[in-house]
Amino acid sequence: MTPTRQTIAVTLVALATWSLSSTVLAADDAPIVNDYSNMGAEYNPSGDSQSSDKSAAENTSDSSKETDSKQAAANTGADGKPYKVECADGKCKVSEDVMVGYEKFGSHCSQCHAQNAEGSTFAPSLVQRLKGMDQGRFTAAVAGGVTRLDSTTGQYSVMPAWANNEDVMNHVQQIWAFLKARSDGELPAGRPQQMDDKS
Amino acid sequence: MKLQPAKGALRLATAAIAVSSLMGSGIVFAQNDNADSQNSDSSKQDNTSQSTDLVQLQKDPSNWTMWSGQYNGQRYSELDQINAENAGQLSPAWTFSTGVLRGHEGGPLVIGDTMYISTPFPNKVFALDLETHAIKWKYEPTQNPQVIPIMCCDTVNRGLAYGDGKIFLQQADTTLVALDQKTGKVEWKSVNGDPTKGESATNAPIVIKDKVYTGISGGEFGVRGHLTAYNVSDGKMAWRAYSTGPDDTMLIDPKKTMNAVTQKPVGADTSLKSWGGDQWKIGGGTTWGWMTYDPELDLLYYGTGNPGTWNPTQRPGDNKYSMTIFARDPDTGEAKWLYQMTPHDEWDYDGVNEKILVDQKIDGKDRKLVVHFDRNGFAYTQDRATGELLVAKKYDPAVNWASGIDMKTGRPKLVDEYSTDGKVDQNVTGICPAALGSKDQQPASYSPKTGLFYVPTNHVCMDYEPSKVDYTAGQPYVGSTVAMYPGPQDIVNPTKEFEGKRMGTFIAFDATTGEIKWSVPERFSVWSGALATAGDVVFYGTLEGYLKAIDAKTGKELYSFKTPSGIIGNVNTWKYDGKQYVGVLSGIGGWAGIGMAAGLTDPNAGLGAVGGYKDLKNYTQLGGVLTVFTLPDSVAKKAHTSEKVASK
Ligand code: HEC
Repeated sequence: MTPTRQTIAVTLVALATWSLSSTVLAADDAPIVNDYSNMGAEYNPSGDSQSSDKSAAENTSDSSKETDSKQAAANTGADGKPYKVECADGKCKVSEDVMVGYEKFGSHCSQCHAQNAEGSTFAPSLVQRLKGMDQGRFTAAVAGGVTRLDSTTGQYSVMPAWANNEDVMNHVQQIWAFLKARSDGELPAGRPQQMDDKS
Repeated sequence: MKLQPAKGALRLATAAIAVSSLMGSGIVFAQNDNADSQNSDSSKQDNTSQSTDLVQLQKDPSNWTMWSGQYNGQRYSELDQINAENAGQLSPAWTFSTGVLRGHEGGPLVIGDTMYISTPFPNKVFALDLETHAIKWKYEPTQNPQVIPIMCCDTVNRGLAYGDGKIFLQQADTTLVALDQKTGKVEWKSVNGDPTKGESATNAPIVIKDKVYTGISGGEFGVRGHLTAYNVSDGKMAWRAYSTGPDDTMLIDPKKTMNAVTQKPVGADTSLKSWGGDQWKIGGGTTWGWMTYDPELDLLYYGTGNPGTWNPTQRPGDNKYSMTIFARDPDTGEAKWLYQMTPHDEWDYDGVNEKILVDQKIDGKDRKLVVHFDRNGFAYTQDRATGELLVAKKYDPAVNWASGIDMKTGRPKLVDEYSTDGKVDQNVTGICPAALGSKDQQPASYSPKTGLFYVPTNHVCMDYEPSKVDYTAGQPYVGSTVAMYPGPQDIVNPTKEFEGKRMGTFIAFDATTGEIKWSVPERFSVWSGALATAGDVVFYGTLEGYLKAIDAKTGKELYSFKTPSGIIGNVNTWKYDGKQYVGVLSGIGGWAGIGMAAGLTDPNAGLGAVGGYKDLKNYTQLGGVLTVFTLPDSVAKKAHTSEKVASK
């Protein structure tokens, strides 16, 4: 099966699932919806909280670094690979985009796909899944998520959609670079070190 | 984790299309919450529902009526047919597959001749006939699968509650359901939260008098935690107490609610003052742990989880009342006393672990105590009427983020090197314990016969790199990269030799002195709830899938059986037709399964090297199965039992 076909299949299943479940509300089954108002605070954080958040963390965000790393990402290796990895004596140094990818993967994806992207009881190994996957399909899966009903187990497998998450979407190239290096077998598991020069 | 199984949040799909229309209400109900009533054989005498008084019912050791057997959280049984002499002759009596993969936490309830079990998402409930082992009824809700990824670290469900002829299920999508005990028919449903905002649920509810209590998950999604009481009769909300915010929303009386350490009233709006701006609105303090109750003092005990993001720099202040033990009046919800274990958390040391109620002597005086083994690696012994802090000691020698607890202020004495505050984008290494804690949800047990606690623990350390994160409703609000690996190899009084690197220890602990008596080394975290019995046998399960029975006095292994999958469930016991049974759910998963299934990297072996221990996946695969153990009839008959004759 080609990757493209698989994507289509996945999408169809996902859509089917949605439309199925949208018919599901039976009126006679209406749950009690309690009145949670008048509890002093909005259920949902107000815009203020975000701004106060921001001010609290203002000095910690380093926007210049982000710009740097975007540029670094554009600098793919001469061999067309999206990463640079140099290993010697069991230590590997990586280009900045791979390093950023490692960190972003660690903060957004590793809780399901595991620290080293080798998968868990909850989500597949991306080291395996990326073999033969092109970047277009990768980006589409990350942005749109995957909802799949596994017909042999009767159970859902759900990968969340990240389209609304700026920190992921702004670094999807770097995450790709990191995962590709892992999947190609060029970067072993563990925390890499960044190369000194940003060439 | 908050990677904890399910403190999750929702990822609204993107193309918000289909999803948003679907999840708009945050609630999707099943079309056929069908309770298939199969062979409900009414000829069989149902000796249960006569007693509506749970306080009485829970004392009958033939039953296992709530998550810990009894309200006190001891997970101790008076049954002693299985004892240290004959436990070696245990063998499996019957098994049952739940048909669900994923992590099976919690354990079976037994009331009279029926067992009740629940599964991870989709949260099926089965009532099993103990005589025929047939399914009396089953209930399977239809829930929107988009709740799955907000339960970031697996779709666990920690089990059911029973009261007033009803079985209570806390579904993943936050719906609390009351089912008729006899038929499985839905009596009512009540919606406790909104998955589109990252709210989900994993906890077992508990019933006290005329109310049923439940919590909320979503600590990794900026959820504002709360404990909520619903009427058993009709599912209407009776009260809700938030973990953060203005006093009235937290049911704190600034003049009456006591600060356990100072033994003075807490004063006005102590939570609000401990946060920058409006941050308390996304302040965390979720309530996904176990609850206990003291009928004499009439107090309900539980703890709250991590504050907002995992990046402490972003939320200055003590972040009250995350990481806090609360004692509340179950009728009104009013907080009687509270104590914050980890102010301004920097490591994800949720304070939700079970609060075990025991009566022991301290300095020669009889005390009513509440003991808990916190995620942060300290075991706290407090007076349960007042909260007074009596003992606070490490229960794993590896704990290094704090050198101790200052008994005057109740605050941890922090070690700078392991602080993650003010270190945005810096990788802080070698912190023990890891975010998993020295113990996570896996409940400990206590034997009044030995006076010891039996505690399943993790022995895992971590590197923690905080990063800035913005809050978006329904998106993860974590802001940290964590790498975990086995802890150092020091161990107190090991019961046996252990080769290689261990990630778990099963310990016997004296909470009156804070001493570890002995330690059973385990290859992986011990993520299963323990059981202690009057037969001086202690039971627990391992991630590889072994159900183990050990001697309560020495820790010596008496019996071990490899069940079909890794065990993260709790071992429970009951008596039926004259015989004592022990049952446990297998089914690898949970945070432990996620964190470890793929193997942890060893930081000391050089980049990328994987330590010399085998991956968990080499030992076990997914699959939910209940295994029930008992003694051969001949052995059971010979066993001298001193049990008070149960009502059975
Ligand atoms: C809540 C758990 C969860 C998180 C967090 C998560 N994933 Fe996934 N992911 C899954 C699951 C489950 C699948 C498998 C879906 C299926 O059954 O095909 C998956 C599949 C994938 C796939 C393969 C899709 C395909 O078409 O084969 C990619 C690529 C992927 N994830 C990338 C990521 C990245 C990058 C992140 C972080 C930004 C991430 N995931 C975060 C659960 C998760």
